[in-house]
Amino acid sequence: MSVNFVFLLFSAGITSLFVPQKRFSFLWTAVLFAAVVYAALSLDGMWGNPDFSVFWNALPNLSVDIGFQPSRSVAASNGIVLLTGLALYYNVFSFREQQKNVLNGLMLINCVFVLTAFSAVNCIQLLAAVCMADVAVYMAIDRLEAKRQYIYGNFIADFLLLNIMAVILGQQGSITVSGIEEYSKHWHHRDFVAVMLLICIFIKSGIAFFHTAYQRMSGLSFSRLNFILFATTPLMGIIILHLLKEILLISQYSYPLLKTLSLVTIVWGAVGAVIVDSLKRKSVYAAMLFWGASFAAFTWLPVFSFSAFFVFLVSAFLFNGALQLISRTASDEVLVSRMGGFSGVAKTTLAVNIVAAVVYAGAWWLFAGSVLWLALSGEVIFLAVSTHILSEIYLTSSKTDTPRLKNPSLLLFLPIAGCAALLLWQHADNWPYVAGYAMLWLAVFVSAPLGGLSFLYASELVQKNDSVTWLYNVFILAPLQILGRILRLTVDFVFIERTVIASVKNAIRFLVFVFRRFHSNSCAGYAFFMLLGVLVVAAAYYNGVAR
Amino acid sequence: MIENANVLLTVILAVPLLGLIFAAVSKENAAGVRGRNVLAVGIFAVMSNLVVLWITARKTDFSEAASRLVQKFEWLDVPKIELVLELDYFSLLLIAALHCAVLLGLIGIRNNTYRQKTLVVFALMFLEMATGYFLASDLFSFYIFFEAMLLPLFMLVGIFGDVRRQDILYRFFLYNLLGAVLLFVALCILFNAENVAIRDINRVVLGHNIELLVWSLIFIAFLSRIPIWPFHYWLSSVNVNISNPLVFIVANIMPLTGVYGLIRFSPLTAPEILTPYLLILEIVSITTMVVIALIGFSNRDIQYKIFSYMTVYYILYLLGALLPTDALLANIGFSLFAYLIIIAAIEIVVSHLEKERQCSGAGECGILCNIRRSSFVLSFFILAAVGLPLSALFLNNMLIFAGLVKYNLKMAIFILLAIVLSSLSLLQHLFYLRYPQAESSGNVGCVNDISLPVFAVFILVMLLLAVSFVNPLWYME
Repeated sequence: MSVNFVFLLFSAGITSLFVPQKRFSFLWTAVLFAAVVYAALSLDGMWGNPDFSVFWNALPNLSVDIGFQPSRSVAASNGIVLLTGLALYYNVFSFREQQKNVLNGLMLINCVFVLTAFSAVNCIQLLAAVCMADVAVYMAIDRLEAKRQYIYGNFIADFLLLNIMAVILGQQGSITVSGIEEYSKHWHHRDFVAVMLLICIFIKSGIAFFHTAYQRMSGLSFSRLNFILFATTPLMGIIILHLLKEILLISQYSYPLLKTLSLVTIVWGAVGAVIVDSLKRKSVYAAMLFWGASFAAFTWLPVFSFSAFFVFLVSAFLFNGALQLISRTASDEVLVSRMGGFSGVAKTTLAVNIVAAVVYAGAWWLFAGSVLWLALSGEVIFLAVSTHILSEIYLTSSKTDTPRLKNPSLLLFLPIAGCAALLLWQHADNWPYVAGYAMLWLAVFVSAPLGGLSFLYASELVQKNDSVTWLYNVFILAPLQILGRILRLTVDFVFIERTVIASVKNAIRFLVFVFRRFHSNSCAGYAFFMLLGVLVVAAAYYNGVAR
Repeated sequence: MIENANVLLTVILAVPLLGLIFAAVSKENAAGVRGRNVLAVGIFAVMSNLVVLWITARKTDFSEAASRLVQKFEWLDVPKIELVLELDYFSLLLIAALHCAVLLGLIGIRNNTYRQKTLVVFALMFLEMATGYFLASDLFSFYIFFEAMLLPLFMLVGIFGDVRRQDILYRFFLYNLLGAVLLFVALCILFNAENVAIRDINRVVLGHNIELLVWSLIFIAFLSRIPIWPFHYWLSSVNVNISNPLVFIVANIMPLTGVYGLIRFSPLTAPEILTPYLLILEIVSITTMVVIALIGFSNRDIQYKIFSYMTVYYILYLLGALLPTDALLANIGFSLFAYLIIIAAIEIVVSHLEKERQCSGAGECGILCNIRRSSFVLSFFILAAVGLPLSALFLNNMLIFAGLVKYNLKMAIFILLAIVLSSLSLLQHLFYLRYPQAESSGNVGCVNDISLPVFAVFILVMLLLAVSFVNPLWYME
């Protein structure tokens, strides 16, 4: 069953890459949705199915099984398929997307790799799925600078992951995910492996100081951007963390580092979402805030529930989807400084935005509620960020022509409404709290306490600041390049060319000169060569005859 | 198994020779005329041999590590000299990769009308000699092919290599010749002691000093072909000047012959006397890797970047082979198979882009934006080259890393650093070409993309690489 739906999704994705862009788009969209729905239904029927595995003849001298473990993955797999379905849905209704079928295909292919990674029974399955997903995402990014940053970062992350596997395989001779725990108890190089794993995860999920690749993606279309920010590589980061978490336990530094950086990421994401002008960049920072919160939850929660995590993930995706609707309402305007006063015209969009924000906050409570301080601080930060963004757009004075504003199609509101209804139904008993939070949210929204920060939208220093890239360039890239040039100059040119080769050349020239002088028609020359002959004869005698 | 499958070895060796003869007697096109008489003969010969190799693989059971095809030819009675050809799966993979690389090179020169006949004839001669080298299993034939490779190589580099400084060319030839002479001396001493096959060389009993001398000569002979410090300089000097893709591919197969020689002679057959020297060799190798990777990272010349990448990976495979186990030999073989094909393909596309850039006067930036097929092909091969899961390189390299990490973590860290830097160098080039600043230069739109037939060939190569990732033993029954 599991193989059927994975195969179905994969073939639908591959075929979609080759479907003509301007023909059969509706028909093909229907086929893709059918594939996703079938996959979701298949997943539901998989509870209690035995684990499935098949031999993969990938290496001549190492037995590799790839498999799917319904017992471990069905709950999360539902979330992955749902998220892919939502991304597909938004992409279908995105009129700005030129390569819709290709992106749809890549979404399905990515979904297969994420499912494969989550179900990994051995490290090679995990590694192959993670790297293949990177190739799919690389293809999905259609901006050169973003592509470049993405592949640089993720190549290094994949390489680190590969080396973690190599260390474990070299030390233990086993590649099963379940064998990681055994490795953590007995083997060496623990800090080294833990640090490599952390860097890999940080790059994948765009944690603070490793987030530049995602910052470059603000040129992508909204549907493409949201898909990449939530359903692809960053999600792989947390899957890797989940599967290899035992490795972190072996180093005393790893969890403190993870905790510190997750908090820094939350703060960085929150501040960025408040102060940047572009709605797309706000989305990127909001995603950063989300992943920071997820990592914080991973480290502090006593039990990390993947079911709750996926509810939180889908809510975050929908919150960003709601921001996308604002841009659609304003005829694809993305600068908040050019928006304002939308509440008068775009009432439906405002309502949907509010619902999305409340759902997001509710999902966080559901996810992190067992650690009160974490849940409360998260709620405060979400409240501040979401109210600030929305109040800047809806409540400030109008800076755009009102006739340009138009509520988008109701079809785009459906996922948010559906998700809100589902969450409310699940938490019907807690309706007083939900209502209370919604009232509080509205009060903060109307009062807009962070409204004074809007002057930062005009600051070039804030809007164009890319200090992390500058730091990488100055402290890593530039020294490496300078070192390379120095080595080229000293090793290749000065040492080999000018010293070794020139010396050999001069020495040979000198010997030739000497021999020419001796090989002249003179008594000294005769004497020298006779002496040389006597020496050779003597050497031969003592080494041969005398022995 | 077919009846007397061993005869296939003669066929494998004979086909490039026949191709060479046919190409030599084919009518050469008039200057500037784009006929492909000789080229077609060359391509047909290489493809025919690939089919023979495939049949050989299908009909031979390589499941046992020690299984091999053997064919012997009596040469002299006194002294008793037999020429012995052997084929195991490692040689088979290398020969197949060599043929694929040369085939791509021949496709890459299809529009090159300058002395095409000479180019094809010498390329086929090199292919013949290199195939013989990978098949040779006795000391004599091994040496003959090792030495004989130099002639076509020197002619190719000399005529088509664009090496303007003659001293570089002479140096290139002299270094190689010196290596061959040292090997000759070593093999003479070994033969004088006992005439054995290469794999039985540890049976030869020598005195302590003589043994040390023989193995030193063997190691220096092979190392002279690998760009390990200080031998790297001649190869880098030559490589940066070569603009003909076929010649570049051939010149960069030379280090493979060095690596292969060391794999055949050591480590399991090498005496213990060499152990301390092997450590020195490892240190020098790793230092070279890091230095060349750094230079490649800072260099803007794509030929140097490719050279840097190739050097790092050749040394990686050499270090993998020097580990005191032969368990990784299969992985090295599969990696080398993918690696040679990938490098050949990258060189073809880069050479095409460089030519177009010079012809159209377009800037170095932004070319790839306007040519979709080249962009796709180059992206695929560079991503495969850096180790993403698009070819057999991916998982097999992981096993080689595992072996290196297991034996010495500190050295492995430097190796990994070198690999990351050389891979980033290739990625740099991909985006250096893609960077859209010069799109407005106007000339960029005139750049020609690779033709559809060539694109189709590249798609086939991509499929071959993808299959080598999914199932590297697909060609066996």
